[in-house]
Amino acid sequence: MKLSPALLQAITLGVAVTALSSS
Amino acid sequence: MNQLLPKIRSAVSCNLDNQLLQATLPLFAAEKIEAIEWSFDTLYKVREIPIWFVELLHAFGNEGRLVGHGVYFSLFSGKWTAEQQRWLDHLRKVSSNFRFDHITEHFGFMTGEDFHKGAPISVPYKKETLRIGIDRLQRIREACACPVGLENLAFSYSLEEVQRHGEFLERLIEPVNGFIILDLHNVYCQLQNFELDFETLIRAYPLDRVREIHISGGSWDVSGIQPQRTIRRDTHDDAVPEAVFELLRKTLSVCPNLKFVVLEQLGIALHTTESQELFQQDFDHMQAIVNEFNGRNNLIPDNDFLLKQAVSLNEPVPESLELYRQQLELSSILEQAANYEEATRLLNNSTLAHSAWKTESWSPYMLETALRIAQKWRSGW
Repeated sequence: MKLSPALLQAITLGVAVTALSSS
Repeated sequence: MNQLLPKIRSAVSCNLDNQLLQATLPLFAAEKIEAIEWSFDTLYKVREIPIWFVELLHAFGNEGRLVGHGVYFSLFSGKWTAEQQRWLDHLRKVSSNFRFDHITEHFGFMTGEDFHKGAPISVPYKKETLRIGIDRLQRIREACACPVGLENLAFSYSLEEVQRHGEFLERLIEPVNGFIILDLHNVYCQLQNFELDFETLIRAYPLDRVREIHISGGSWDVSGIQPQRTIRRDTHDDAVPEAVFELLRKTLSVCPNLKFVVLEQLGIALHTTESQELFQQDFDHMQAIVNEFNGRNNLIPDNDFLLKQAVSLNEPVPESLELYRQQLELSSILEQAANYEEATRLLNNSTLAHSAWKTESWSPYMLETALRIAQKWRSGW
């Protein structure tokens, strides 16, 4: 299923921030 | 493929777990994921769900591609608890916020000293447990107002229990026009642990009531009391074995009401780039099998699993304090016994002895495995 570019970017950023903070 | 027939969707379990999301992100970006399964009751430690995760749930929910999978309800607990009522209240709330295509839970009762600890363990297949299970399913159905289903258990104590599981599941879900999640790794565990053949075992399940299939990986345990024997465990911590993909190929053509096939794996097993790439390869493999079947599928669905009339709930809530006491006793033995010999001695001196639990016929290596499962999860996730 196609996600909007904005949502995909928000998920990518959210995952990256969580990965950074968890380390 | 008949263009009018609905397509079976390839899905992933999708929870607020960073490693799982890291593994899944390239699949989202490539527009491969056709549906997601969210364990809506696992966020009890999270203060606030990130907006982007909420938007992700809405994106799939609004397209009829979001399914909910509960973990902690403990369907067969003999005693009705305040935690179960809170779980239902939470389900009612999330069901009003998100559009679920269906909601599922696990068969069994949870060992563990509190609501969020323990592992699902089976119960005796008798009228009393059936009555409790049906009541709890009706409450779930009333709270979520969409189709409800149950997942087949991975763990069984005896061959007889394995052979009767499908029939008992069918009697349980029939009053709510429910369905089953056929977890093929759980089936694989039964095939390996009880040396059964697939064709015989699969026919013991109500295949016309399969709306969802799970595939996942697991691990092998070596029995301490029978060192030549290995036990297959549903640990969700490894890639999907080829044997499970083979079971998927065989199963698709016998489930006319199948709608979703879901790849599951725990985030704790996805902490390396290599493991995340294996997860993505497993999804591609699963999707290729599903798409190949979609291309030649002529099975006509004949059940939408909706209810034709409103749910009527029992008052007071059916309970069995004897069953509850036995469950507490069994949980305590499984979580505390130092080894198989001690567990056997304690069971023989318990209220479960010479009862519907049929503890005398439990396979020794499976009782040993039950100790390992209960002691692994007694502290929670």
